[in-house]
Amino acid sequence: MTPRFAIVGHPNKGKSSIVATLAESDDVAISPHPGTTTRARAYPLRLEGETLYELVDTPGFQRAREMLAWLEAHDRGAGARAQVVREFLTAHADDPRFHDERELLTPIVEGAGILYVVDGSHPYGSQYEAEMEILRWTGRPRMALINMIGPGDHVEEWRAALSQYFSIVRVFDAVRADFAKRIELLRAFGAIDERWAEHLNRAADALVADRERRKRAAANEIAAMLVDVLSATVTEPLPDPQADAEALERARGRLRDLVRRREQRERRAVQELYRHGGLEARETEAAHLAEDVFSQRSFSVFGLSGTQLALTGAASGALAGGVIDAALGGASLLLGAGIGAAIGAVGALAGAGRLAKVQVLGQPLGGYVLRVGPLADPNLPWVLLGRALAHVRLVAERNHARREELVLDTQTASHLADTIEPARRRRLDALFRRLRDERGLDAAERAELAELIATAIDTP
Amino acid sequence: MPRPPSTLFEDAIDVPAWLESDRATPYAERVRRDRLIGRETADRRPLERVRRWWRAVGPDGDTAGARLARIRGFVTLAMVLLGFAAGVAVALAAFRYDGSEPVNVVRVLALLVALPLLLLLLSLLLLPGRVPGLRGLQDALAGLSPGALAGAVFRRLAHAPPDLERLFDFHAARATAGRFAKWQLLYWSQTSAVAFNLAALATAVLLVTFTDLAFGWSTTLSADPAIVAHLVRVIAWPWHALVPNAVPDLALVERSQFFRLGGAGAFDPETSRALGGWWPFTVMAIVTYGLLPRLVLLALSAARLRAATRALLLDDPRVAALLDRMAAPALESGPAEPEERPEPRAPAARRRVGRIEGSARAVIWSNSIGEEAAREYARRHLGLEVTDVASAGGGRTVHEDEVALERLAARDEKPLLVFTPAWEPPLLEFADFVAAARRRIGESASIIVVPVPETPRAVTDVERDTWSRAVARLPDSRVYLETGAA
Repeated sequence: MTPRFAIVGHPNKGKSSIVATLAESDDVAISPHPGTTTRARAYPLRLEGETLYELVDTPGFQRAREMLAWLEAHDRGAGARAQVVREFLTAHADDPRFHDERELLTPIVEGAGILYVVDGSHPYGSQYEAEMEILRWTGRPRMALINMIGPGDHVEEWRAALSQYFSIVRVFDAVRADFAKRIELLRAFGAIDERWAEHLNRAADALVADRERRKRAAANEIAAMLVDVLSATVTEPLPDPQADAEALERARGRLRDLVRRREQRERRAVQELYRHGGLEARETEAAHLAEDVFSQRSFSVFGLSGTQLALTGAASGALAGGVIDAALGGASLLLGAGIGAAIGAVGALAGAGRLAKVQVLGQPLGGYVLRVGPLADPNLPWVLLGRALAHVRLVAERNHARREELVLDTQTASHLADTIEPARRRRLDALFRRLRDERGLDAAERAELAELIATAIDTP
Repeated sequence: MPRPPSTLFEDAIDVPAWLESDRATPYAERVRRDRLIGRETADRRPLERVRRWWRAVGPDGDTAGARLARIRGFVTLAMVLLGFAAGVAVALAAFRYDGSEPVNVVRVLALLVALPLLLLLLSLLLLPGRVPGLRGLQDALAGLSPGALAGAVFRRLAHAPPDLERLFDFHAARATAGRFAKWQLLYWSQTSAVAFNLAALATAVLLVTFTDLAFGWSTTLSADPAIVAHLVRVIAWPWHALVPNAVPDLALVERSQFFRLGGAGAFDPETSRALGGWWPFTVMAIVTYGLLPRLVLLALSAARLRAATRALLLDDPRVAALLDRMAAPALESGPAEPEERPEPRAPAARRRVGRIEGSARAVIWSNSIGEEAAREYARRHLGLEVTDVASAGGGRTVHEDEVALERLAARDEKPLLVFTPAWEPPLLEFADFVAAARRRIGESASIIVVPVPETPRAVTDVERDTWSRAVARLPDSRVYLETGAA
């Protein structure tokens, strides 16, 4: 038995936001003005073609008191009330005055469960009682959701009133609910009617697995971007074997463009993965994400600090030196690790000012080319990774009910490199160094890089 | 209709490029499409899955991959021809015989066995990955190899984008692309080398068949024929059991030593015939030390090049993402039918300008404000003294609304204020109420809709706009909106 839920309530109380959030759909029309939803629209969740559950977005009640008056006038006792509601729909099948009531009640009389949505940021009012009474008349299983649209808090007032009509009342902030809360709510729908629990749990499990797949795909996109950017080189033809400043500037400009374009491509891909393709145009306006990747500010916000960089370099150097110590059975008195650490730290700091390698190469068929790249600054991979992580975390937690610009909070993002565990940071540093040294990554190393990034996406 | 089969190389070039341009297709649509094809090939290996998928979705007509494959084929053919020409030329030089002195076996071995063997050994240095100590030598060898020349010619002809061009540049390519570049370079070198050896062999056989060759050996070093014979036996060891007459014996070695001083030419026919006995040895030496190792290396390069091409396709992150999409369970959560475009919104309502002096009647709709507060609000914000107040909407019935309107029904010019909760949406039952009020108070009196804020905040722009448009939709030109906030 496929669970079906009609999302009903007063107009403009966030019904469509809840549908957008749960169905992860940008297609749901959401507006601060009432009357945006004019007819019932189904949002099924299908797994391999099988519908696991279906949400029906509906317009709000418009003439609830008049309808209730009709129902009460035709009341034949509690046992016949659902039938009286059906009779109302038949009697007003062609009445344009009750178009919205017809749209919202039809899925319910056809067997859908009821999710009644109110706005907990505004006070409760007795004008809601008529519609809640009508829903009680339908006799269908029902749950009330207190949505929080504005800053006010009238949750307790609402809870007291809703409890008179609904056995289950939950608070659910459609715009700010994270993925875990959405899944929790979905499983809670099973409490409305136990026959639906199995389908809903399967749906929740499928969504969790799908989420994990998307995270891995996003990590792969970020890894691919890092590999491309950190191994990017450009060549400019040179008339003579001397590198002239103009060619060098041209090549550097091309390299910068290449990095920016590649980053933007990764952002789009990640947003697409989380079904936020529509955010694309607005992202360029998000000041911090549009910031020049090479700017000093960007480096200080997203990258590792000088000390962190030295420590990471030292740790990697010590690891390499330690291998020598191990080979010598400790005869070196750990000098290898010590010297390695010193070299690593100094190397990391010394390289910080160098942006890209520059080489002049002869070609087999004559002529010279200026080759610029790959980008040599040891902090650059951390900047790129920090920005990408900040972006993917924002996108992953972003709710489909939120339609405004994607804004990156630089204060939160500034500690991103810190959140990566030191051992993982060392491995990342080793992989970045391979790329910087033009050794490239094979498939296994690339997979390791993606795995490390996937773990970093999870780290709060 | 499925496309005709393409080569693995073409697919390795075309599929990632096509997937890149496919990013413009919405993700959900890509998942649906790829999943559908993925379901049909679920039991196949990844490479076959990707290639079947490509046959189903790839474009018809000439692709960049097909063009590059043609250029690659052309370059390979050129390398074969080059090797062949070199082989013929070197063999003619090595077997040069005008009857004045015999063909020096040492020269033949030096040109057709020792030198190619040395080049082969250098090629072998390129087989492992980059060895730290040998990096400079490896780079130099890769630059000198005929394969590098072929790569440069390819790049000149192809005019491909940099990432594709890099596939044919040993120095620029890294990781998967680097592996491809290395094996492509070695493959081209080996095709050329095999052609060289085949040509040398064919030239040798033709010269032996159609001309008379007398072989001898000559050296300045004081070499004992017994030692030379021993050396010859060592060289001939690989084939001594298989072709025993291709192993010159001591007698032949002794007999074929010659010195240019005093003249070595003009052998009598019997000596010439005897000295011709070296030819099976030279041919077998070319086959064993020239051709066979190169054939082995060519086979290895071809196999590794195929593996590298396969990796080029499968290790591409875009292709990995495609395989994920093909294998992912089809989870869809979009709308069951496309969204209808919302109707254009009504324009904003008329607003009263300036203060109205005098008195008014008032209805408090849906418990939006207390009675005293309503009087105060009207006095302060609108300059009106409220004489009668009634309540409607909210928890009351429609009938109770009618009763309330009856109380205010005097047909005079006093405006009717309707206080509404600004934070609640204007419902159609509110429109019904305004219409009923108009019927009760007559045509001449103004009805002023006053959305009041939820204390203590002010009416927001969105709330004002919402009520303004709702009032504008009413078919009554004497209904105004007033929020009290200038």
